Amino acid sequence: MNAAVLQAAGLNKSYGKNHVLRDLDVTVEPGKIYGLIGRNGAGKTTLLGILTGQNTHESGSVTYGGQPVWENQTVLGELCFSRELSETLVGGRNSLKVAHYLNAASLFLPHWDRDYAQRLLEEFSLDPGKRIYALSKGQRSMVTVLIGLASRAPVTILDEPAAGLDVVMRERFYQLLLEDFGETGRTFLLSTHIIEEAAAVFEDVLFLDRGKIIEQGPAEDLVAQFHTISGRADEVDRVCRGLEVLSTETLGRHKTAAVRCGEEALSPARAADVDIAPMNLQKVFVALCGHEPAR
Amino acid sequence: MNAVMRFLWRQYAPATAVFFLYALLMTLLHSLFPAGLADTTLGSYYYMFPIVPALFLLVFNFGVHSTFLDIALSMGCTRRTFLWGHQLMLLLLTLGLTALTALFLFVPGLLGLPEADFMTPRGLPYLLPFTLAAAEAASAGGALRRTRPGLSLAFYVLCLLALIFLAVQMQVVDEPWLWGDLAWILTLVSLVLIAVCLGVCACCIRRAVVR
Repeated sequence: MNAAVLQAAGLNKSYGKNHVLRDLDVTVEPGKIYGLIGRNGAGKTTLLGILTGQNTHESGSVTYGGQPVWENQTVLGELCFSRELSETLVGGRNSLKVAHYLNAASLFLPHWDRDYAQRLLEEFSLDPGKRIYALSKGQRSMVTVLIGLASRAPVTILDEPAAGLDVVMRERFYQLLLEDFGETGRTFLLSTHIIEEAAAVFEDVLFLDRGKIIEQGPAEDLVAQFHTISGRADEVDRVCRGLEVLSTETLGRHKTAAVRCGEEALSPARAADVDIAPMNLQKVFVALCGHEPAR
Repeated sequence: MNAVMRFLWRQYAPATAVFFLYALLMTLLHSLFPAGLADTTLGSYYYMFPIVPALFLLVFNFGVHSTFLDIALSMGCTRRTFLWGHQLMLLLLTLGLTALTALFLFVPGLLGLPEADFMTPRGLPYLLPFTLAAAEAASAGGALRRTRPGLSLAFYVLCLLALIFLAVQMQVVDEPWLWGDLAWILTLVSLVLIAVCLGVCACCIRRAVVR
């Protein structure tokens, strides 16, 4: 099976009274690097778990190439969800060795690239005989990244891969990711909090907020729709009339508004006495999802 | 199924090797010093020989449905494959460990050494259901620990019950006048225990979530 479309429709998932995912629809097309961005507790890991059959859901469907993902060995072999290794396990600390996880990966993941895994082990200076609880957070992230990359799965999903990595390792990770993507063209889906750094890598972004994907599309196109307009408060208010204002910030008589509109709608504002600046992905995310968390 | 079996075997193999060495050492010691072993600590270990496989399976199965299930599912294994792969592994291990017990029961006699006397050959068939029951109860306890820790404790008690069956059984076989049909009753209870624990494992795994 070559890379196919991974699709979820009408997903609902609750933990007790907490309704985490609400009629969520998402489509992951082959040959792209996706960034899944959401606030803490937005349900990113839950969504990724459901997409790969590792978590359950109350209603909705998840398919890959038209086939259901749940308990489908053929499909699951094409997906790899490499999540952060826990320092503890039920009943105590995680005393399994790195080699243990690599052995399991080599047994279960049909596209596992042993040579590549070995190269990455050396590159990350990871000792396969070391126990998980004895690894630093950064080293545990390296194991996650290693498994994800060496899985060579047509759809590879990484949950917070850069968390805990120092800035040098993060740069190296993005480089490895792009090299791998250039070589294989496989699909990557990454969840992250370090938005600006990863923004250059993402082709498409998915914003998860209040249990739904509120934005999905090419990162560049999305960012191009958002601007900040700043200047005298009355002037900003005047030019923003009729525009979709997402947030405002007032400091004395100076006001800044985050707006979403096309270039054409912005042209009257360009003629006015205000400053117009583009927004970066992180600012766009904050403008869209920076409200109080839903309870 | 093949991947699950290989994955699980890697977890069980070191302990199986330890059991083999233990069995070898105990049989050798008994054969070489039959008189001197009876009242020593080593003698106690020797006479509890048939319980050791069950103890070993019991200890190892606590973690199967938490740690190993998590790893397998996170690597793309299906729940169904894991369940039946684990059941097959348990059955093969129980058969293998019973065969090892039998081997060490008969080997000294075949070699002309003093015969092993931790149990009589008539008790061997009973080892299978009792050992499997202990292992299944441990598996069920381990599986329940994820969602119902209180209930899992009850299954750990059932493990001990299966071990007691084993200990009793070692006496029963040679004393039918004293115990009557107890051997068969315990066997029947063990079979029911196996079925119940298998059902519990299946229910727990069916909706298992990787944490």
